[in-house]
Amino acid sequence: MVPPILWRCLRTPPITHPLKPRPRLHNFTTTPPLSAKPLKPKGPPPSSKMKSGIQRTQSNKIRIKKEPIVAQKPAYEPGQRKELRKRIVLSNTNAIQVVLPTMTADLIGNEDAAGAMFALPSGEEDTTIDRLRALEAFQTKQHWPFFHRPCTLFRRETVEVGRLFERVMQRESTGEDGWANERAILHGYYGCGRTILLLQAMTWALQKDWVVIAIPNAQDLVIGHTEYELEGNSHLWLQKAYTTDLLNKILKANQKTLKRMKLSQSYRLGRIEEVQKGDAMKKVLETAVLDPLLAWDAFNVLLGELGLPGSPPVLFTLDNLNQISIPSKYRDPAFNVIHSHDLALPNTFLAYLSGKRSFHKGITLAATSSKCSRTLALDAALEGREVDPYERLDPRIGPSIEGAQIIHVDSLSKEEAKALMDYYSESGIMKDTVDLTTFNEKYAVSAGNPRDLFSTCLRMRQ
Amino acid sequence: MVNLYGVQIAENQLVHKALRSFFGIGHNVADRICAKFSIHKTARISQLTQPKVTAISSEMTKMVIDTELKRKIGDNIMRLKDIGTYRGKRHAQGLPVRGQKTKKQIVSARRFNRVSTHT
Amino acid sequence: MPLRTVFLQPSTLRTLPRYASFTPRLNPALIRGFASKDIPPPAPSKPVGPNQDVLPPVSEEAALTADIMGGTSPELEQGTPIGEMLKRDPAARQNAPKVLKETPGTKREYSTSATPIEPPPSDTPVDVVSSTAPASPPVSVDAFALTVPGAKYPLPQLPLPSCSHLKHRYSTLLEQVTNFIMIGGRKAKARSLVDQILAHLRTFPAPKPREGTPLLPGTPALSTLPLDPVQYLQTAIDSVSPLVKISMLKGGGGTKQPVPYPLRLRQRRRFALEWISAAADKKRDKLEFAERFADEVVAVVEGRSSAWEKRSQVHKLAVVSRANVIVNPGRTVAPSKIKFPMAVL
Repeated sequence: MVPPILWRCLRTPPITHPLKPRPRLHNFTTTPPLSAKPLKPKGPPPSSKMKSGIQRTQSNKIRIKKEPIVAQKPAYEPGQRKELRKRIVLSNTNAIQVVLPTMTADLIGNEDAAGAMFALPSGEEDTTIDRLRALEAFQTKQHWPFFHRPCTLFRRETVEVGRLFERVMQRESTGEDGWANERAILHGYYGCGRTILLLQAMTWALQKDWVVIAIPNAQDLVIGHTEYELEGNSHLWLQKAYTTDLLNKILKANQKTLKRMKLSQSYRLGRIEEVQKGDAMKKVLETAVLDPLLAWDAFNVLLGELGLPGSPPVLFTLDNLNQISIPSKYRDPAFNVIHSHDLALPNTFLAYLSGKRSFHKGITLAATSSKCSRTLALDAALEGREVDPYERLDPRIGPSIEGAQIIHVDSLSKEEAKALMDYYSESGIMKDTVDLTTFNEKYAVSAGNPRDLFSTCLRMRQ
Repeated sequence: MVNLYGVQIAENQLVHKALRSFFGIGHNVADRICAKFSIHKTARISQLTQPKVTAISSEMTKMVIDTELKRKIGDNIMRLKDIGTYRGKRHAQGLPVRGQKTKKQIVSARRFNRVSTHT
Repeated sequence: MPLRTVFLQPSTLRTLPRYASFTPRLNPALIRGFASKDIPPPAPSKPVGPNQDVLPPVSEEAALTADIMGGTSPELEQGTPIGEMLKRDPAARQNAPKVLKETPGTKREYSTSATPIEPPPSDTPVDVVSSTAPASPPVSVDAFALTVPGAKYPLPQLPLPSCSHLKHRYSTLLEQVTNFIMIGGRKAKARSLVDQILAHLRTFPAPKPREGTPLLPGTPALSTLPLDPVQYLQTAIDSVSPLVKISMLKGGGGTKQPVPYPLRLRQRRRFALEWISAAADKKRDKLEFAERFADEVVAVVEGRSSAWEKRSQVHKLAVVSRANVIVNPGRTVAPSKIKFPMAVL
């Protein structure tokens, strides 16, 4: 119930401020519209150059013309950068050509040739360099792009590698039907030329029509970048994709020899495929390359056939041995680290290196690497020293290289360094004349290390 | 596109990264799943066979991940509130739970501390 | 593939001594040094010490003044007989200063003798003073053929070559390029980049000569450049480097005047490097910095780089605004400190 006095409050007129001007409100006006502007005639003005069809009928909104978004073309296609990174250039037309004798198979074990430069065989019909390329024997950062054509130095260690070849060939020529297997490891300081020695061995092997199987970088096997799966029977981990690549390389490099090899019995590849007795080995590999599931079986067939009498000699190489002496990056289903020796390919190579398996005639050659984390077990095994039981080293490493000859790759002798420097000078790479002072200086600075010698010769002091 | 655990995943994506896109799977768990099915580090979704994809999916159904995990976390907080704990009360108020000062800088608490966040 | 002859040695291909042709060498005949040969400086007749060039005695000065003004001059021949006055007058002896009281011949406590400065030995040739004079002739080998007894190697041949100093092993150009490339003080990284650039210059195809490319006179044949990458780099950089820079100075009435300033060698190279690297940065189709930079260096030598346009632009503006050049050799004030160019005022 509202008291009546409050209703009176509402009824009182609103209090107006005396100083505030009140708005003047008129309900209507009688003033004629004089101040208004006269109406414009419709249509465009006569002087306008605008087309009559287009009129600005719309309001004066700012119209921004949107440019269509152009999808930017990527600078590189997928895989193109890797290709550029891995590209190997073997020739430089700017450099001066040097006439050098060719590195032929006659030089195997020739001690007189030590300390001289030799050119790798190249010619119209000689495909040795292409086959070496297919085997990835050339590596980036090996100074090939500076010279007119690939040339190598014949070193004391090359003679020692040649001795391996000599021994196998001797057995071949005498007609003995025994087994001839040589196993060696190239070991030395950084940049001492182990990979180049492998290259030289491959050159000879290709010229002598051997079968060359090369694993160019063992790191690819263990860093966990390729497929892997467990094989039930042998409890080894297969890498089928990598094996397919490897077979591809073998096929490209050894076309002629593989064509001549005939199978001694029929084999079964995978579950369905079968190869008959008498087929060429090349055909087997060509089938296997197309299907990764057959790759491992085909590789085993190849190795098995090479172990039989009457098969061609083999050179089996692996670079960066250190990489397969440390735990791999793969894991088994129980999340334990897989030991590198449990991977099938390294296991096979080490079986040949330690003499558990053998070719009928062949050389197994490995090279250590300096670009690897510490491998104390391998170092101890290479030095052949007694292992302290308190040093907890990997017990599997020592037996894996047991019995292999260790070729110590040393720094260059003075004669070899002189030959190299003369070659650099003749190619126009090195500007200084090779006199006694310059030679002594560069030799002392590089300590006879081939990699350092090149960089000291290349860098110019002004 | 491949259907993995009910989610469409681009073909060219790394398996490891695709696994990590699920709530509740980090580097460690993804490593373990990959090791269980022998999948290498650089494998992409397109390289997996269909049985393997199914196996991974069924493996993931056994784990508590994604919405299931979120519901579980929400339930835990709900429980705290229901039994009348201090922590549950703070969650409901959107304030820091573990004794932080509340004079300033409690933005994260205001954002995340709710009872019904993960339901 | 055309094969080059084997007998062509790099030394025969080089027509000029390396780097000698690019240093601004001036003809000594055209330059007048501070001391010319024809007018030797007047040799001082007497060695002049620090305090010996003083005013004449008082009486001589007074005589000179009297000569000019026309008065009687004091007797110079006889002098003022102070000694006799002192002898005659005992009162004067008492008031005389201390120095006069003392009998001559006694030893002083301090030395007053001024040692004359040794004049330079007269047998030194005057040419040495001139900066453009060649260095002293090489000393004969026989003088240094001595071997220290018991030492393994003989003494080094003097003078030592410029590269023998540890900190100046490389050419000044390479040092400057290295420092230009360096970011954040990572010098080893910069050095390796420079090495990569030089390696790329070795392996890229030789530049094709193009008409109208104003390369420096004395550049060897372009086909020989890849075998000498430092010369290659130097040819490119020194050819595009501008001679002047344009600085906009405040003129009268709120305008700005373009004023060309001459540049030193190092400054010129700096400008060239700026332009080359700016042009190289635009190449997106190359993978690495070194490759891009080396490619641009080849482009400069072949005359298709945008650095040439920048150079000609600067030179054109310099020619147009040549009236504004500040000609004031005496002043060594930084250009930023000068308010108005003298020529404008």
